Amino acid sequence: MDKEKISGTQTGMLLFTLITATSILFVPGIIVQRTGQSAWLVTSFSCLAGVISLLIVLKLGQRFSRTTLSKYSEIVLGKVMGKVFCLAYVLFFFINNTLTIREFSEFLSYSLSFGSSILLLIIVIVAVAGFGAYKGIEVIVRANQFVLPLFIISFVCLFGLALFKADYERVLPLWEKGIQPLISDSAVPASLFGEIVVLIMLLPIVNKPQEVWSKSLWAILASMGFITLCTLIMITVVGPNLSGHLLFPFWNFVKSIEYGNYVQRIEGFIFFFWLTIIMIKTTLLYYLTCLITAQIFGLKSYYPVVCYLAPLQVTAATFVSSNTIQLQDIFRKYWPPFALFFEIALPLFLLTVAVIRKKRGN
Amino acid sequence: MIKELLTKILSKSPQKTFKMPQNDSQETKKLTSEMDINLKILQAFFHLCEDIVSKEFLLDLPTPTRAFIIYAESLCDPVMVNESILKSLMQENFFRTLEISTAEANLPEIILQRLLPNHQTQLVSDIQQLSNFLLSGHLILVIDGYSTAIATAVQGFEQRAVNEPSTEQSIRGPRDSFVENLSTNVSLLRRRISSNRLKYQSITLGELTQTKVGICYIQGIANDKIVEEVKVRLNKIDIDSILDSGYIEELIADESFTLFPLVQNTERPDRTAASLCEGRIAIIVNNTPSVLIVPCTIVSLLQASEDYYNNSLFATLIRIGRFIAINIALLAPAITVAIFSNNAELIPLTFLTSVAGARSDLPFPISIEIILMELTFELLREAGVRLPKTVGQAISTVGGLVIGQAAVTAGIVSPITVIVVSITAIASFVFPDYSIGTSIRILRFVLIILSSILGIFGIVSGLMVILYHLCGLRSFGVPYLWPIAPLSVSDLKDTFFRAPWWAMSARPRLTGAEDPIRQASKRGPTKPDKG
Repeated sequence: MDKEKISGTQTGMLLFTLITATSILFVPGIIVQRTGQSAWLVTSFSCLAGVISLLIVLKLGQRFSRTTLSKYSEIVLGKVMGKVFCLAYVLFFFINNTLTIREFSEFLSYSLSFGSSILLLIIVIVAVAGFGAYKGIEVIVRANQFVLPLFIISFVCLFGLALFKADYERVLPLWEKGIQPLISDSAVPASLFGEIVVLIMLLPIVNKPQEVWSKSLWAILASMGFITLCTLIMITVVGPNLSGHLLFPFWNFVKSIEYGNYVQRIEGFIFFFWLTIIMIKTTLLYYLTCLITAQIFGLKSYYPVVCYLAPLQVTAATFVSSNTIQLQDIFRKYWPPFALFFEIALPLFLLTVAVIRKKRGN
Repeated sequence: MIKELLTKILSKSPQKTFKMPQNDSQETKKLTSEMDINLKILQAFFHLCEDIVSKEFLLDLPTPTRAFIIYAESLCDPVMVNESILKSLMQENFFRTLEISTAEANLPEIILQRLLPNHQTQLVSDIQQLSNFLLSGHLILVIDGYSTAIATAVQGFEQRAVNEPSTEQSIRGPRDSFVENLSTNVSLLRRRISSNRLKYQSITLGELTQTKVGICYIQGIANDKIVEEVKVRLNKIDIDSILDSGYIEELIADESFTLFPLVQNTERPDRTAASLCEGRIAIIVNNTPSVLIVPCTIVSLLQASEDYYNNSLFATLIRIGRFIAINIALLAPAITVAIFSNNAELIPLTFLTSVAGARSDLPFPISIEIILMELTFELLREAGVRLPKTVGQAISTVGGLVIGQAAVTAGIVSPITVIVVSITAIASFVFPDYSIGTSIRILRFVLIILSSILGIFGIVSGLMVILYHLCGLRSFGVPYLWPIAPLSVSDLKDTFFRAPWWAMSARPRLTGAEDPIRQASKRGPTKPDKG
């Protein structure tokens, strides 16, 4: 558990996966609804949240190099408060994963496994995530290295196909409603970019911490470019109005790409790799939940937690919402402030207290 | 948790009940100086072994001295026994010229040094050692009055000649393959790598079989830690018999339960030599032609030795084809099931209608059909392996055709099923390594079942579990999916592609890190200057 090491590049790739996996599907739909044709500009604002979060986490990491969050939060805040602080993160990872799994299964039952029972899908997802979490972080990052290139290649092919279907008039007029909605709408993507906060757990196991800054920044910028491109192409192909009214507009966008009688129905192949990516994301969050729980209670290994978490995760994901619309609502209204609190405010609080109390690691 | 439980259940072992009668006394028995007693001891030791024969004779010393030879008739060459041993021992003039005093002192040594024209001779006095020599084809000479015996090698038994490899054939490249004899196998490697850096060490494993196991590696290229690890793991083995390298493969693998081969086996010396030059280690087991190579990665299992002899562009194309084939062999039936049972929206409409029309009046769902046909094919394949060579191929192909054709016309399965199963079958014969093919065959069925329940998503979840498993595997510390995951860009030149030889200036980083430079750079072909 403590011997595992991951490299800077692997971390960067993992963060890219973490940000893009959920964003690809849900962000375009949510931001297009209000900002219309200028939606693709939103992500450039929201990635700031990721950069801020990254800066804070790295500062913490520099102050307390090679120490886990559970240890240094206790150093900074005292024993009891430190545990409470970590419990907050257990909650964050858990809820984040719950929503991710739920969104994932909702999407599946809407698209690829039309009509399957959500519960069955959730159980399968949690089983796979639990298996991966049991294997450990090294396995997760390696699996990510294996599938991420395939995912990117598949999407590059998608963009190539979509280019000929695009109608660039649709992005005009730009800035129709001014810059205000762009900023106010950037909260949802911002909360996803902020997920870079998982570094707070990963930093102690990166073998060259000095690489993390550049690699993570690359990850943020790349995912920003990626989501921007996805949104832009979706708007030009499907159009802002239609995209605003669909449940998963990106899915419909991929479905709509056809060339003659042969190149049609490519969505299965495109989303095949997306499924693997999002599996990796849930696995990672699952692993982090187990890991931080084990650290709080001072367990020797996190393996027992993996088993106990599975039923909890299934139950939570099943009852978190009753339908897709409600879930979208949670995602739009309640998730951003909740997430940003954990992603920026809490680490910042920890950092400030550490600075004021002049606590340093070894 | 399940794994630990299984290991616990499987490794329950009864206490040893059988005790060797000779093992009562802890001290090893030695020969005495009385020849008669020695003969009795040895005869008792080899009681009921009729192929162990002894012969008494006289040494023509000034005082005629009795001696006897004892050897395993089944392992020795009678011509050698008679011509080179007995003839020289019964020569008169040699012993006549000996001075008595020196002869009395250490006759065995004198015989050893001046009389036996044999490259493998040794003095032994310990019974256990003596029996080991005897059972490995040595002849033992015991002289009256001396407690040391002489062992000389007179092996002579039938063995297979070096011929073409039967499982890993190639069009271009060397055509010899390993045989059952260890020293022949080592010679095949030595002939290829004429360097003092090619090291060969052997240990003996197996209480009953006393199988010699050799370790080959190139010093300075192979990682010392891995070499050490191989030796440690081999020395840990405590088993009664080793009849094939497969025993060792399972005993030294890193993982207790996995479908994937963590140790590569090959019967091609050129492949083994190439692996040695990359810094891998070969484990050669006596009495089997399959040599083990560690560490092994999934990429090395998908490479044929021929890739390195053919034009690099062609080899690259073939390799990419092989990667496509592994996907077809693993996924084609599962994806077919997914499309017809859950995800009909994944194929173009025209295609769907034509195929679905053909399936409209069939009794079974597609998943049952595919599983049925796959099982039939697996049975045929197994039958083809077991049947005598002359019948085998005919039966398997004709059987496949007849069953496929008849099943379709009888309206039990649809033509599409037969097509998919055939394509899968062809794709699963593409792998250069047999053992990776077996793991793919098993996983294929798992994925079919998953996809019949959950469609494409079932396939993805199954693949993710497989991927996590693969990422967690290591072979002697080397990650199994290396260089793809963890990614090592410079080593990809020999993965999906086969870079031309002039571009492969660095050895694979994880196995050949000790001495990474294979050749000086920029030594490739150049056009002569026009001028």
